[in-house]
Amino acid sequence: MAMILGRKSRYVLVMSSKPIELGSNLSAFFDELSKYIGLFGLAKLSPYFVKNIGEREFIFRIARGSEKEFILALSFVKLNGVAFYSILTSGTIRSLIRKYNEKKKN
Amino acid sequence: MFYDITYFNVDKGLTKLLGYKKIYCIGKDIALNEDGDYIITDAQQLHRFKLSNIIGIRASKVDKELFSKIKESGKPIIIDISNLLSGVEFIREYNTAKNVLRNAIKMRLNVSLASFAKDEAHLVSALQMLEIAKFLGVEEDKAKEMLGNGYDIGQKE
Repeated sequence: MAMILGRKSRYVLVMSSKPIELGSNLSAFFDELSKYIGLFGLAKLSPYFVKNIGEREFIFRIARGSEKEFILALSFVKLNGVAFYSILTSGTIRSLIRKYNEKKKN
Repeated sequence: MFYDITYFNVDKGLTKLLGYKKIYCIGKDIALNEDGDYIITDAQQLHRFKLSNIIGIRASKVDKELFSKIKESGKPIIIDISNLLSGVEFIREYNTAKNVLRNAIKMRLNVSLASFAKDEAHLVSALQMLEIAKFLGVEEDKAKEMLGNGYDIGQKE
């Protein structure tokens, strides 16, 4: 959707406190997120779950310039007692994964 | 680099992934309201401990008299955001934390934030902590300074 409207995106790597099947709980996750940023906020951020790269690591695509609001809202989101930590942000998925691997090594 | 304080031991791998230099564990690295070399004390119990052993003073409400005592002591004030992170009575907790922070900054105290997380579900990353500081009304530079120096044990040694 973001691409169709010509919006530029940022990618955020999110880690959960426990392994969770986020793909099947996405609507509950976005409901919880909208509690803090509201429906207009959700429309502005246009968060999109891209993929998971591990049991606890997920990549989200966010409208550029709104990633900080997403990071903040994520601090308060709890899904079945699971918390979410934002680890990194980047302009491309490839560099996000590269940065994450570097961070894990160090 | 940022620091945090929790009630449980966070392993080094997760500490680095979360973007902290160190996460101090209460009961292991530091003591909370108990005698020891590195004490975090609640503002009301400031008088109980030797000043040189105190590394920070936890505050969760505004008390100007206590704040002026903290200022005299020269120790950093640590704002507990655990209630804010729990999500219960969010607006009330937000206003309380914002008030404490505003008053502490007004009185020119050395301010810091800490999650005081009881488990992994109440922990936040350094990126999130920075955004929370800004959410409470602090400018970006001040927020970075707050999370960087407030209760670095290394400074005491």
